[in-house]
Amino acid sequence: MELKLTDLTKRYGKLTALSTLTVTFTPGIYGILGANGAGKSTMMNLITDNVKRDGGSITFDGTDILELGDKFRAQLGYMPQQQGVYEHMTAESFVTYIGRLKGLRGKTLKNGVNEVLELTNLSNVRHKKVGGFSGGMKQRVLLAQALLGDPQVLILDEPTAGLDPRERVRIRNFIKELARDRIVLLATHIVSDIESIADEVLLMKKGELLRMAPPAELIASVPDTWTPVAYRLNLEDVYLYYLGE
Amino acid sequence: MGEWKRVFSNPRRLAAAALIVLLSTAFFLVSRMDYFGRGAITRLIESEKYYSRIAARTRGHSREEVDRLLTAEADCLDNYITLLIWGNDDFLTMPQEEVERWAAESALAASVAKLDGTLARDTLFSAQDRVEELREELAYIESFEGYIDSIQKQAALQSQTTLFGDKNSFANRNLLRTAAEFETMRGVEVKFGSNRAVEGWVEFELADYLYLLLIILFVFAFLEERKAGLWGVIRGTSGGRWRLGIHRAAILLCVAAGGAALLYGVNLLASLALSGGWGDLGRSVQSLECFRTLTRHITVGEWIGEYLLIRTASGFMVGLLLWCLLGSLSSVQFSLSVLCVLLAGEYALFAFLPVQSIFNPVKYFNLFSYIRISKLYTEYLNIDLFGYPIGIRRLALGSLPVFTASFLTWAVLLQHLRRPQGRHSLLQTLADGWNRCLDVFRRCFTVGGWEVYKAFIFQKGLPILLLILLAAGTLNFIRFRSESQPEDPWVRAYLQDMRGPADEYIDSYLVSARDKADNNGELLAALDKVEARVETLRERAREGGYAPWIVDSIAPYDCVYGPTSLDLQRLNAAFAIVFIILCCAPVCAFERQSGVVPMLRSLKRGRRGVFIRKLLTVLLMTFAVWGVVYGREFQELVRVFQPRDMAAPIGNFDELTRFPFPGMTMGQFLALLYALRYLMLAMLAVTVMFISQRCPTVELAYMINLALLGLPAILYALGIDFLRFLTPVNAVSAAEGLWALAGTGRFSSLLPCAVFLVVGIAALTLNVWKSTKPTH
Repeated sequence: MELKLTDLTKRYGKLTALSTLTVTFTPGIYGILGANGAGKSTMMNLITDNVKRDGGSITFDGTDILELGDKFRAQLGYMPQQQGVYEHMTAESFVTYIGRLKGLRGKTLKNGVNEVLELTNLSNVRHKKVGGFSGGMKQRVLLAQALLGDPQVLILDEPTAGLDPRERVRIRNFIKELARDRIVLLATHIVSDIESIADEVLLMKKGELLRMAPPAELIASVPDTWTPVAYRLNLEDVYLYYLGE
Repeated sequence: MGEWKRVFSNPRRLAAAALIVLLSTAFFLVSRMDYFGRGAITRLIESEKYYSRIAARTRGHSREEVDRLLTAEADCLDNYITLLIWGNDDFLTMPQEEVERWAAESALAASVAKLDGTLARDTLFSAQDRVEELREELAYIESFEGYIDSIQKQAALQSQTTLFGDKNSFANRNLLRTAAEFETMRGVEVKFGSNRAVEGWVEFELADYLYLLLIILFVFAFLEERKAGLWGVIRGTSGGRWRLGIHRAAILLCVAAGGAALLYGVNLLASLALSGGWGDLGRSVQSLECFRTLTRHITVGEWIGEYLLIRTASGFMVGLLLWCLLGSLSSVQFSLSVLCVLLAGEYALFAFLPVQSIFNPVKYFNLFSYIRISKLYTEYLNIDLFGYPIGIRRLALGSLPVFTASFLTWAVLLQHLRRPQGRHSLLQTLADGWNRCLDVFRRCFTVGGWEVYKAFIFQKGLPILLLILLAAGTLNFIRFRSESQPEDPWVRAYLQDMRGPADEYIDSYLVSARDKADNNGELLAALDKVEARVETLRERAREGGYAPWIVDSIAPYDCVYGPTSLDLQRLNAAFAIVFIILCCAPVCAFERQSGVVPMLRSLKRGRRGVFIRKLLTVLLMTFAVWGVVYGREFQELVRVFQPRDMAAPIGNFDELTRFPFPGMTMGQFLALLYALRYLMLAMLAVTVMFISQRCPTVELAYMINLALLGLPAILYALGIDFLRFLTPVNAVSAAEGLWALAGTGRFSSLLPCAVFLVVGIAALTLNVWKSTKPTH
């Protein structure tokens, strides 16, 4: 399984949001780090075909995702950054509805919904309306829908934002479990999440890929002269060293 | 003062309030019109001027003199209209100058000269109605004393019966009370005068509901902090509890007073300006027939003052009650549902509970009694309260201060004591239980089922359709016409008798009719005409290749679908357009407002799959609107005319002989018309959906669709003719084009339909939702 981005370019007027990005994803967790406007969400929107690309290609197992269309989207689990939900629906209804749109039915749908609600710790509030949920709970609902249907490519934009530490760790460990045979793209500002689970980290700045390497390798690349933020060097230092202005 | 500024400076709220006031005035003026279409406003002004002139001329005259004056005026109008209609077929299309010249040269010249001023041709029919109204009013004035007598006599008579005889029964007490109250009306001087302005104003119900809407609009302003998640912050401030409650109550009072002044005051002024009657406000209120049963000594002017005060007080009380009820719930969304259920329940009791029901206290002791306040003055009724008769007006108005004080206390205390967090609400528990049941049901939904459910429930399609159903009940579909030529009654009778296929049976019927005529010259002449008619029909049918048929008059179809009812067809089409917008505008905007579009687009069936089901949902809603508007139209045709020529080929109808398919039956022609209308409404719905996809909020989708499609349609239907090219009214109405095609044989008559079909197909093709290609 391979998701390949080749010379991917996106411009908004005169602003280049993504510039000839070339990267290949195979099963594993890819943490994407970058300041606001670095092009993380643009990349995700291009992969989910929510934004029109200006150049380059995105292929999944050698075929362009635009050609694959529904077939590619059937493999996709996407959790957007914005907390867009149907506020009138209950958590169960919302996830069931998304399950239908993923083409699930019958027991597969029912079991899948129960599983993801359990996993995101929403079982006890499954009959409450999403509109009454806190930010963290809405985040879990969105994560639940993304996980539903056993997607092969999981795109998670800020999945742990707003979650309490216990939930964050739980979700993080679950994502780690999932990634054995899946491609997981994880964009977040919580650097410690990436450090603990990502197999590789993409450092992005102003629409360009600065570096892509395992966390340990990136940490090792920070020169000795750099004063660590904490008692020892970690990914935050990498972030500040490479991306800090 | 911060709260005052927040509430009164919100541009959206102010725009909505202004729209409510505008709608009230616009619909009030529409309610006064007898005719819609080109020149409707001029015709309204002219006929109202005529009314006020005639009413002014009667002032200071005795009843007998007024009677003579009105009879002369009515005769004059009758003669004028009769001569115009019978004398010349084409008078409806004749230029105004020609009509006047022709009338002046005719024998009616003297009568025309007697008319009060020169009336425009189109106002003649309205003028006739106005004179008739004045005559009815005169009849009422003359009967008033008799009416009081009849109540006394009836009371005396009924008290002798066993049913009313028991002095401890409600029936007996009610009888005595009614008689006593009406006895006080003896000697009240009822005077003839200009009533139309005030009566029209009192009978305009819509203002009451718009007033309620205005109150609700501002009550929801008090719940905004909950929606914005600021409830805790507001409550945490020093002035955020009881002081805020008092300010809000004062704001509500101002809204109630301002709303009453704007919604009712503007309409009253407009009504008096149009129909006159300023000088007649000093008469006793019983001079107006609608107040025949009001047992109070009060003038019309005093009643108006009192009414506006009571209106304000009741609006304030209703606002407080709604604020209390909605404020007791934590969830604003939930409170909206509760509000809908509450209003629907109260309205059902108010409107549908029979007066004789033992539960009638809940009919009158009802929220809507305080909304439809004028009914308390125009209806006399004592209800049974522990065996004693209590007048509904006395009961409702007497309890108004008590309710107001109670709800005011409740509202302020609620603002002070209600905590945003940590409450276990019973209603919330019930709602959770209800959601649990619904979830079991919703698990079975397919994607299509979900789209229908979202449209009807989340996007309020169902309550909107119910409102449309109510509104459609007020639509008028038939404009009766007079026959252009007086027809020989014998000819008509024969043709009625022979109705059906013009086959051998007709020949034998004619032979037999000739035998029976027995040299009666009148009958034989009629039979000659009938035979000529049959021959013409057969000749035409031979040429057209269809079966000859002796049909009844075209009039029933013309009155509903033809040129006679053109104004009504356009107005109904305009309403259908507005109804479609109300139903379909949120369908795609709702997704954008919820922020779920990127997520949906990333799903396997989230593009074309969702779009197709949304399209089907919209077509289903279109079907509902089509059924509500045009289904009722067909029902009216059948109910009023019971047409029996549906199987007749259309070429047999004189006005429709050039239809390209003359063998098509009238039933098939109407089926084609209704199918075309559905198609046009579907194209409109697709266009609305197209616009909706580009709107980030449902509110904006409504506003843009109403501004682009709804408002021009209504204005065109009301006679602003240059908008005909900017609105699909003629396409949706379709009858005008189809009728013209049948009359002229020119397909260009269907151009508006063709153009709108192209627009609809383009809207369907250019939609962004179903796209599998990148779009943004």
